[in-house]
Amino acid sequence: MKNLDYWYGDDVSNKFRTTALEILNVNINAKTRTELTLKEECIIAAKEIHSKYPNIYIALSGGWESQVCLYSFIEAGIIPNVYILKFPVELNSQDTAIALKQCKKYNIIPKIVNVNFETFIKEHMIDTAKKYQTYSFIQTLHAYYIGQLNEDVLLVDKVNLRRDQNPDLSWSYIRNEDFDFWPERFNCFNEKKVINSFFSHSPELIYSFLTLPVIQELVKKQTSGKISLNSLKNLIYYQGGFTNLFDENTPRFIKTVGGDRIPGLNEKNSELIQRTLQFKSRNAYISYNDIITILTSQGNVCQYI
Amino acid sequence: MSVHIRRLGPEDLIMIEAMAEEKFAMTNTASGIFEDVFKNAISENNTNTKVFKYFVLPQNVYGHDKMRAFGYFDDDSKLLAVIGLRCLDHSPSWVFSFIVTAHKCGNSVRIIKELLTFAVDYQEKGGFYQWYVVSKLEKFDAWQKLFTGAREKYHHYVYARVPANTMPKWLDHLQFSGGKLFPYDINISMYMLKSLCTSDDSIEFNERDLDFL
Repeated sequence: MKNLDYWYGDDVSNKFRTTALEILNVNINAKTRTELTLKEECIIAAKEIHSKYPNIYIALSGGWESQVCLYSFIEAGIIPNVYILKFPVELNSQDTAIALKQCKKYNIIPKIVNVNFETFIKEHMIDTAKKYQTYSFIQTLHAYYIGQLNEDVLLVDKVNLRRDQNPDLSWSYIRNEDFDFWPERFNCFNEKKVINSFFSHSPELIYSFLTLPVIQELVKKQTSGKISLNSLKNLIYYQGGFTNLFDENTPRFIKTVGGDRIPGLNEKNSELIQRTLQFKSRNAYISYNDIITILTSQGNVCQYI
Repeated sequence: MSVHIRRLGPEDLIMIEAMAEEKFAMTNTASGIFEDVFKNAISENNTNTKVFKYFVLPQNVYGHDKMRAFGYFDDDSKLLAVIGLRCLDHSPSWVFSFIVTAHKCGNSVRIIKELLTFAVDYQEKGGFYQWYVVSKLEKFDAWQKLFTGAREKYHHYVYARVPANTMPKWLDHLQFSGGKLFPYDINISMYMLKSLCTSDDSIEFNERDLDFL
């Protein structure tokens, strides 16, 4: 079974949630070989994804993860296609500037798609959300514009490690019904696929990330927190072997978070979508110790209510 | 007859479903007051008795403790009634989910009240001091009467009213109905534990007690 595959109830092909009460199953495969460095694992992921989807477009946001992903493709000897979503009135100009700079660096001519919030919200948002069960404004936006692009797209995921108010209050690896799982639902309808499993491509890649020294130090902390947009990521990727890309002199990345600069754009529309779907997305928490055990033993199917 | 109440587990599921199936097959014998309540009870996902499994999930399911069921047994260990509740994700509160009494339950109102008292005490011990009840608006008085005992310890508020088949104005209201719209007007009641200080008029205080800085 595919790593981090999910389904509802007893039917492994059931990707759509129909009620508030429904068991969510998440499959985690075990490692089958000794993990390499994070950088080496990312390069393997790039090669394997490219061999399956040779014309794939990387959705380049300009953030840490998409830069690491693009760099991994380049290091693998692949010049990928790039797709950039450009928000109106310069709302994500800082992010797209970084993305464009990266493209220029590798002589890639990106496909730039200009977002029209007004038309999208009025004419497409609810239908798209209902069709693919996307719970948030941003993911619905991605689903709609990727559908319009009609190409295979790699939407770069991230390792979501947090310690918050989950039941065990432990540092946990998290998969979310919204941003982690909607691509599977999208793929049920479309010939061209959305892949969002770069950093979760293999058990070895996940393990390599989770056992970096900086992460092992992080999960000892008793405070709440997450891997966020700060210098921690710089250190993570530096320790992971991306020393050419990020070093201690790399300027701290400042994300513009475009949508949030229009008051309520993201929150209000996400709430509207969730009212339409009639339930909120759930998080599948796997505590740090549990996922390390699962990855190094026999794998497991975790169930959530 | 002594009272036997306990929290139910996965091993009790067959017994719960059997009791409920018999009850639903004999709906005409249900008390007029609770007839609609039973419909309400199974309406959280419209799958009839299949909903009960979520309230007695095995421990290997993450979040298994979120939904809880309590059973009332007679001296012969026969299940006479079950109530279910669902703890909310981001606050120390819970929602009253369902009541089902056996077809031959006897004094069901007394049994339900005893079950409720047990469940409320159980939740309090776990630090849950606030809970909600969704009821059909036209049966509100009956529900009020059922919870008379609870109001001695709890403040009661009408938290929201949602018209039939209408999307609530606030998304959070959906969490009380399990994301479901009802074909009739509903009332969401909130019960909040009275603090010791506000419920005890004999407590005296002086000015220095207020000097918390």
